[in-house]
Order: sequence, then structure tokens, then C-alpha cells
Amino acid sequence: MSDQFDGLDRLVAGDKVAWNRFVTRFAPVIFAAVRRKLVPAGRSEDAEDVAQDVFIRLCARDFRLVRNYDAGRAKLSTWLTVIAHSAAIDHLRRQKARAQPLDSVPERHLAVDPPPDPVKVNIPPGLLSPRQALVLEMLYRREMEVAEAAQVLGVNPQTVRSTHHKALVKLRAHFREPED
Amino acid sequence: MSEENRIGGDAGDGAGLWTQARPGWQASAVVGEAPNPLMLAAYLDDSLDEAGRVAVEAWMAATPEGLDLMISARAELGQAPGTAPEGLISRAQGLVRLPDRESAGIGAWLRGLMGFEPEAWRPLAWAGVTAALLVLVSAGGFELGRLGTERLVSTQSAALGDDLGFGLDDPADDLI
Repeated sequence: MSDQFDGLDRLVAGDKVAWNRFVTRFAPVIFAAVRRKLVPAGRSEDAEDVAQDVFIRLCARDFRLVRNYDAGRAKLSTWLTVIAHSAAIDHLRRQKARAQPLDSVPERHLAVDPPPDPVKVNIPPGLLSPRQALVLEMLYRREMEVAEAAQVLGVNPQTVRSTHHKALVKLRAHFREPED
Repeated sequence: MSEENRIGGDAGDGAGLWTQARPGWQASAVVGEAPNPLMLAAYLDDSLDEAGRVAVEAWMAATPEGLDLMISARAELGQAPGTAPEGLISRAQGLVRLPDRESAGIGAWLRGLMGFEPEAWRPLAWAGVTAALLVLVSAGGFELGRLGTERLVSTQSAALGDDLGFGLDDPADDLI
């Protein structure tokens, strides 16, 4: 794995020089990841605070997160990107929850219509593999392009098409079977 | 790009089939705990084994927030990071403080008082501290000496029979 940081052992031992080097090196990665998540949501002004929150998480409980990092499993920049995006998503979720107090919502919007009778569709476990379900979710619910779905999965587009086709074959066969 | 071009001839009934099947699939899906950041990073770096990959994809398929996270993280990996604000860097670096190296009382106290490591000023700083302590000790010594002299003068005055009218008993009177 490339982009490793020489000094994580000293960092988790509380070495300030190692920590300062780590911050200097990876603050751009963390800040960019946070900012790219917040800008489309109109919260770019929160980027520094959320990035600081990421560093706080890394220090918390005697650097517990950093102690659990294993350089043999993933790149440090990838790992930090995941943590940064997770922090940004959490922040947006909290902002959304605070955005509209319940009292400000007109009562007619709060009324709950009785739900329609659900159509019972039994999908036995294992009918679809997780990847097949994931491809269907990305293509139909998220309306992603095949190339976009392939990028998320880390596979080539033909694999996505093939997975999609097999999933639909299974579903068609399942819905054609007579009910017992 | 038309939907048929995106996913071939299956596009016709695909959306309907998944809309119908999705609730049932979610109800029957076996999804473990949310993967930790290291596992998700390993997935993105394509270094997970088959079982790990399946677990992450099951979580992504069943968890909208999880899928959001992985879509945005994947998109991020191909981007150049740019620079970070200086304010962020200094605030983050400030989260970890210097340890008390010698843990000597006066050393740590002095560092705390000055608020920084007086690396270059150490000899002068120690000289100053030493001088200050000498002044204090000397002043204290003089003060003690002065108080002792005053008491001695007071006692001698009483012994000469000078009635100061303060009601101070002279123990020697009891022997008369």
C-alpha cells in the first residue's frame, strides 16, 4: 500500500511532533473530503468545523481509531476519506433534524393517511445476492448510469450489466412461480 | 442516453420488478453490523476477501446512508485534495499537547507559566529564576532578622523596668 505515514506508532504514544506531521500531511485530504460533501448541501461554511471534528475523533479515547488502523488492509488516505465523509454525513443529518421544528409544521402536513394494504411479496433469503440487489438499487432507485455503478463497485461496466441481467432473470422466475 | 442503452433490453420491466421485490428483499436480507471504517476503506481499495466484500455490499444495498457514504467516498478517491486552511491545521495540531518531559515541579510550572517551550531562552530563564529566588530568600532573611531584633529590643526595654502600661507581666515579678 502506498501513501503510508511513517510515525503512527509514535503518534498513538502521544508524540506531538508525529501528530503535527500527521495533521500537516492529511488535513488537505480530510478537508477536501468534508468540503466536497458539504458544498452540494449548501453547508460549505461548516467544512472547517467538521474537519476539526474528524481530528477530534482521531484523538479520542487515546487515539483508539488510529490504533485500530491496519496499513496492510487499506491506504491511510482511503481510510481517512471514509471517516471524513462519515463525519460530513452525520453533520448534515444533524442539521436537517434541527432545520424544521415540529411546531412550525402546519397540522395538515402532519396528518397520516392510512397506509394502503401492502402487497405481500415474499422474497426468500438468498434469491438475490447482495451485489445483485445493490446493482438493482443503484440503477433503479438511485437512477445511476451503468458506468457510475461500476465505479462504486470497483468493477467494469460489463460486470454490472451481467449482474443486472441475472438478477432480473431470478426475479421474473420467482414472480412467475404459482403461490402455494 | 436512453434507459435501454444504459442497461440493454432488460430495462422494460426492471424498475417494476425491483419496486415490487425490494421490500421483501429488505425484510429477508441478512445484514450484519455496520462495517467499520477500515473495512469500508479496504472495500474501496479492493483488498477485502470475498466474505468481506459480500458483507459490505449487503450493508450498502440495505442501508441508504451506507450507500450514500460509499458513493461519495468512491468519487472522492479520484480527486486531488488541494490545500487545507492554516487555521484548521493549527487548531488540529493543538489537540495534542506537549508532555511534561522532566515532570520536575518547577520545570513544568515554568513551562505552564510561559506557555511555550523556552528552548533557546533556557539558560537565561534559569538564571533569572535563580536570581529571583536569591532575592526572595535574602529579603525573607532580612525580614526575619528585623523581627527578631525588634523582639529583642522590646524584651530588653521591659527588663529595664520601663512600664509601658500594656499589662505585660514580667515572670520575674513572681519571684519577688
